Amino acid sequence: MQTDHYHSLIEARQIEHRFNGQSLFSALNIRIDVGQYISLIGLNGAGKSTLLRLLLKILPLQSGEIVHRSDLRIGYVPQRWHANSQLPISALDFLKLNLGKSQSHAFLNQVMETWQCHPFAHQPIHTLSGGQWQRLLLARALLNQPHLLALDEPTQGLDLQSQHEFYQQLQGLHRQGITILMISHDLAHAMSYSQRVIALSEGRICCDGAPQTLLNNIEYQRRFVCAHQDAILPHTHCGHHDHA
Amino acid sequence: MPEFMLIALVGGLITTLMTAPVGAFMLWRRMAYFGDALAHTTLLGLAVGLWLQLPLTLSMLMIALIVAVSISLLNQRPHTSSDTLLAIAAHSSLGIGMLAIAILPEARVDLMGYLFGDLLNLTYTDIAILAVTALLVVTSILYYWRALLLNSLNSELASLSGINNQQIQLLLALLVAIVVAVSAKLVGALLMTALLITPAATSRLFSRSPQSMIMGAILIGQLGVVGGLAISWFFDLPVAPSIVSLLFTFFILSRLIPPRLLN
Repeated sequence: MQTDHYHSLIEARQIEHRFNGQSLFSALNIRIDVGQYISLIGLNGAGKSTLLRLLLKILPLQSGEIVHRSDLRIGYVPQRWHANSQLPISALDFLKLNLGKSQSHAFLNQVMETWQCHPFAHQPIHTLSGGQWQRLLLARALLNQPHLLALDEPTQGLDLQSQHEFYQQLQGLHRQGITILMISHDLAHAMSYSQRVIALSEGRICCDGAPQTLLNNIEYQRRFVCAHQDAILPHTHCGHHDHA
Repeated sequence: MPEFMLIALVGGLITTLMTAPVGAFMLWRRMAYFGDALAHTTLLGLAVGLWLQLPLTLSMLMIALIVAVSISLLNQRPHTSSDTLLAIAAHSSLGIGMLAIAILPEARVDLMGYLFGDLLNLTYTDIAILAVTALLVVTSILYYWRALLLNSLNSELASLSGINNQQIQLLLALLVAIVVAVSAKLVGALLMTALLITPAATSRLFSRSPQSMIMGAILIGQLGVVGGLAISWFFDLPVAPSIVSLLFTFFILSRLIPPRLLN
């Protein structure tokens, strides 16, 4: 099945998901359009990663409908996982394993050059640092020349300098025409780099729009900005009415 | 060399061709206990074979496959702990199997042989079965190599590469079941896991790629078989424990090598 609109990469209609008998979200509708830079935000346990995996069709859909554009190619950067040290595989072999049949080794070399993977190409993946790991996963995700790059908290564990560099690189990819859909805990990044912020809270999308419009959204302010401020400066009780 | 030793040697060498790659995947997927549980179920297979008067290798294979598929399917359901399932499957089938053999009026079976191995009593038919099974297992692994490896690395990324993770996990469970059931006669149900895991774990220390780890595990397994048979011959000791003890010695010795010599 195809999306009814060519500019839409993914369209989710009335999706529901239950986990351990509890509803994580219900009747959710989202459309991911070509060329957007989208940040998906939400508190811990809001279901951001689950939603992303459902949108990418990694998780089986329990209810509703998710439609991908027929020619959609997805690049996915998952959260860092604990690579099994018993499986000895170098960064280069890991990338080769993910190389499509139609792609040449010259292309692989070019991607590795762009993402500076050569210095650790022969290092086992379980020994890579946070920054190296991120470059490797990004290179892997870009091997199939994706229309959509989906990232799940990609800057987790990176220092501020590395985070800044990473965001610059993402912007470069976005300028090349790749649609970005990223789960982020970093509100500052979401507000300053994104064209669209989707906020997930209590099983529904509580805010969805351009960063500027969110600044005037009372629900967004109450759930995210005040919660953030309360965490840093508890005495302000910015979000005290939340617990009433 | 007497004929029975030659048959044992050929049987052992063929077996390591399939136990090494399957053992490596078990290590990469953290499935060591799964293999152990399946090895225990071969005793239940033995009892079923005796009760129904079926060829014993066939009945052991049937039970191992049924248990492997059942555990794999149950594992995909929520609220199911895989180690609990494996512990129940392993020890229940061992208990029930031994009980069934004990109450079988005319059972004349060398239980010790099936528990601790009977390599010296291999027949030409056993060699043929081992050879066909090894060919099937090695061909399957080569054919599904990319899918098996991607699934072992990260199932989400494998899924986005178009790999059906459930199918691949089931395939691996079936391969383990086949290898365990067919090889159980060589080293026995209780020592089977050692033949699967120890060569792969020893080889890991010297390996820089999955392929080299499997090749190393084959070599180490074959050294274990040749050395174990020699120890058994010259010192009049049981074969399977000799092989397993030698493999364990290789593992310990490999751990004593200074890390700087390995890099």
